Amino acid sequence: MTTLALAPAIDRVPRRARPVRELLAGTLFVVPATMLLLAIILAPLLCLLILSVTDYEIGAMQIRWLGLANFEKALSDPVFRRAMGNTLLYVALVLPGGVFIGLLVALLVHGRTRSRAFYEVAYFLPVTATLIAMAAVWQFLLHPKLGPVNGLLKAAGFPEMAFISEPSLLIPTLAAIGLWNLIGFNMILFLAGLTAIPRDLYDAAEIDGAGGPIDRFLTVTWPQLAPTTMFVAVTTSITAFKVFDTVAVLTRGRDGSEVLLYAIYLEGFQYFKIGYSAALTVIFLAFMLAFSVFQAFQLDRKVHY
Amino acid sequence: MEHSLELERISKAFGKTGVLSDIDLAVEPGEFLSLVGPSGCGKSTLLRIISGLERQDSGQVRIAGRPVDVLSPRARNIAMVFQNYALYPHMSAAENIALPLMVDRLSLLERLPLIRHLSPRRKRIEAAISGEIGKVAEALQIEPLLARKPGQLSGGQRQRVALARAMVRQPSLFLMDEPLSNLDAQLRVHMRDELTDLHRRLGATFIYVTHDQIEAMTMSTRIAMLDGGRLAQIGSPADLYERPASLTVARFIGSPAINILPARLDPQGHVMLGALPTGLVASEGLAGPVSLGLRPEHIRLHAACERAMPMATLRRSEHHGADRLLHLDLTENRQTGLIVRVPQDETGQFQPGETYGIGFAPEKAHLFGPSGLRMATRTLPARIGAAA
Amino acid sequence: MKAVRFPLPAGRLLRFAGAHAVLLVGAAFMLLPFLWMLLTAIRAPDEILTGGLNPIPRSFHAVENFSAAMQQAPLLRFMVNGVIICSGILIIQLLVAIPAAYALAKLRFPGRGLLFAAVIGGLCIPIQVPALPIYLALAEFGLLDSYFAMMVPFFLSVFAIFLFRQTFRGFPDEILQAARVDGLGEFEILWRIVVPSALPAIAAFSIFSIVAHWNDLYWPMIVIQRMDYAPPPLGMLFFANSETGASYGVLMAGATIITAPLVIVFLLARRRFVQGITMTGIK
Ligand SMILES: Nc1ncnc2c1ncn2[C@@H]1O[C@H](COP(=O)(O)OP(=O)(O)OP(=O)(O)O)[C@@H](O)[C@H]1O
Ligand SMILES: [Mg+2]
Repeated sequence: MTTLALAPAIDRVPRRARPVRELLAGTLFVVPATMLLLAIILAPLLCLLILSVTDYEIGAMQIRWLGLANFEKALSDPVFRRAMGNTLLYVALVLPGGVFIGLLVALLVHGRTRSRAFYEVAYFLPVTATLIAMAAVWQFLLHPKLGPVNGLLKAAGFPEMAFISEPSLLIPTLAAIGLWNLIGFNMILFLAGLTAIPRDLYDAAEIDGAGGPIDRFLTVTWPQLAPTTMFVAVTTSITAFKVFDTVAVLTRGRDGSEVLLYAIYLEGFQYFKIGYSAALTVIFLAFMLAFSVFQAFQLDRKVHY
Repeated sequence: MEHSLELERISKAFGKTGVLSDIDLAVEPGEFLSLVGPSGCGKSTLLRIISGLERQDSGQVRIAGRPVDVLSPRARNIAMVFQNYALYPHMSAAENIALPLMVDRLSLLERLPLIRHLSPRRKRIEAAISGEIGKVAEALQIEPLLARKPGQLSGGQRQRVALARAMVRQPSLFLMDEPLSNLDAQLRVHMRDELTDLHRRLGATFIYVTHDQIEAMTMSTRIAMLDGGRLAQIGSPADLYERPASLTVARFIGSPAINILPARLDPQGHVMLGALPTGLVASEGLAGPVSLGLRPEHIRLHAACERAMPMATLRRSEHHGADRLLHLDLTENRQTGLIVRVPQDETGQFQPGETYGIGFAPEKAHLFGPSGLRMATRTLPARIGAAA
Repeated sequence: MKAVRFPLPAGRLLRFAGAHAVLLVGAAFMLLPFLWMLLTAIRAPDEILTGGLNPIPRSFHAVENFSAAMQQAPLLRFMVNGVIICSGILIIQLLVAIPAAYALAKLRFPGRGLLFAAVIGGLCIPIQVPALPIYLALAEFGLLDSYFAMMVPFFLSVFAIFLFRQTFRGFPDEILQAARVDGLGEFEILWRIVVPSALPAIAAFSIFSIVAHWNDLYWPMIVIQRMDYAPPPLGMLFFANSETGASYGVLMAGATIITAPLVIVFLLARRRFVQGITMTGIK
């Protein structure tokens, strides 16, 4: 009986002591993070939402509430619509290219043994390089008179191409540079996915007669890579949607190369139309959230597979 | 009648490490041959060579009398069941089972996404295939599971789907690499029965890799034991149990394991345990150390202290249902433990801590030379401890 | 002997050659900009202006181009700025994120769920979103054009908190309890026991953070007007604007200098580097 009476008492001492200690330490540990979270994410977010429904401009005397007028203006503004269209075109070019070329390269590199390290370095190098500097290099490569690309075209008997001045060529040119910058990264993600495929499945496919390259791909590789492919597709979309650096160096948002982030930058930080720029940022945020929700949904499915 | 499978001088090395050397093997149609051996001895490698997933360095594989060395796995008309089942996770059980037939009967174009819908005969062939799947599924009692994906199946159910995928092409040769090792103990016993049944019903040849000697003993018509890349012994389960060709085989087969006692050959060839003659005489061989193998059920313990017997102290006695296992320590050689199996009703007489004499019938003992190989023996009329 | 028995099938040989052909063409496309950058950086201006395809420069002008690049723009200054900004950001990120992540992973305190939800939510908000309000605040307090302005939005990395929390969660509770029994405080447990075990994750995150902030253009472009605070990308942007054909050799020399540090780190520590950058995708 005595032991029974004692047991809860013994149990209670550490139980009470631990939470106090944990509570103190835990609270203390998260104070800096919480304050920063409030200061540089939550408060700005709130500000942004408020600004987006005003006509605030730096130096303006008074602020008026506009309701959704900024958004209406954006949707009817030809410049913003062009920026939106160009951004989506850019994504539409980079997304399939980035996924499929990345996959192709990964498949080919995966089969190599001795040369694998070389190819990994070669394809990944553009990911590591500072994009601004390399954009300047591309600018030179594509220069109508001095660049080797046009030099090659001319040598092959084609007309000179104004990659960085002809408006209809701008987005495809930017997309090509974007792909150049991105493929190595996607390749690495696909290589990781390929390594995780159990060898047994390929053996089974071979026994079942599905040992040819196309059969192996359709029966094992492609279905097994499905989660990786989804993941790569979403990250590629997000990266593509945020295209900015190459625009800033190569075209400075010139006719034909207006993109979403550059438009936000110009409106907010060059023309100081803060309210309008905030509204554009909210639209940008909506896209980011949509991508993220899509990704979370996909990851969730992968877990429950 | 020609052999179902013949291996001739198969050798294989990975880089510099030799895995298999000079394996010769002939398997009759309808046999259930188990390949056993310690981990890493090359069982899977041999199976993969037979299936064509791996190429041997030298030697020949013949299936149904036909050399198959240049043939792809598919052309060898074999089926294989993998340890992890290797079911395609994105396909339903039915699709998994159908795949080998689809590949057989439809051209590549007819299997490609989208394009396949253009084929006029695809529907008809697929209907025929699903009929066959139905039959196989019925035989294995997995019809209710056909629509499920492997992720929604239990281990035993996956095992059966993998078997169905192997059976559906009606191969004459089944290769199985430790197909039961991922199942829990009870299911393993159950699937053992099912596999034996299946083997009888199909009449096909089974090559079955396992490192569970009980599986090998209970299911096989013959057992081939690999050791260090060589074939240590091949024979019926009874052969391997009663006449193990080497120490390794003797140790591997039988549970609890055989007792190995250090012994000596005297110049006349008498096998001596310490200073005591055993009544066993080696037919050849030099004087020197040898090993004496005694199965636990072949040792008798004598309470009365007869002087001409090795002595051992009972350390512990374990209940094993109908039998009891007695663990003893030899008095002369403390390092050597001894396990004796006695029927439950005889155990009353044995008390832990007591010392007993060890007796055995010499014709039941196995003698192994210094190289570990079995030595031929005969028995002398005078035997120690035989008087029970 | 082996080859006689089983000759390499023609199909496999063809596939081997095909794979290498495709990969080599691709690799050429990936490496061409680097190669041309280096070649142009050592070419003489007149040779550049003729726009020939000749890969080997006729006269070597490396010294002139590189020293001109160093003179025309304070490239070293940009690099030093980059180092200051990246290390400042990284140190504060680690100091803030590690304790928070530990608390979220192993300690119970009120508001834990809420904070973690906020962290997850923060993962989908890129810097471009809070940029405008933060800019206004910095302008209000006269803090533009400073190292602080460039670093402050990145002091909190929700991604670091998330990543470290996942890492710390795997740490066995028994060891923490044993340490508590031994009388260690939570801070000591964190610093002396948990952090050392998480060094690989911390290293990977550090590379990720350094690469991200060394290369970031958007935020510096907003808060920095004066060249002497510019990090490498912004410096490059200033530099690239002097866009005359004659100075292309100099421009390429500058690009080489700015690209070199990360490329060299990559070539030296390939595994870690790839691991670190790959986290960008996971983010
Ligand atoms: N692809 C390979 N490359 C190099 N070595 C290999 C390869 N496959 C197997 N080996 C080696 O060959 C030896 C035999 O391997 P194998 O898989 O045949 O053994 P096993 O008898 O099936 O063992 P287990 O019972 O553990 O499955 C091992 O030492 C293994 O390390
Ligand atoms: Mg094996």
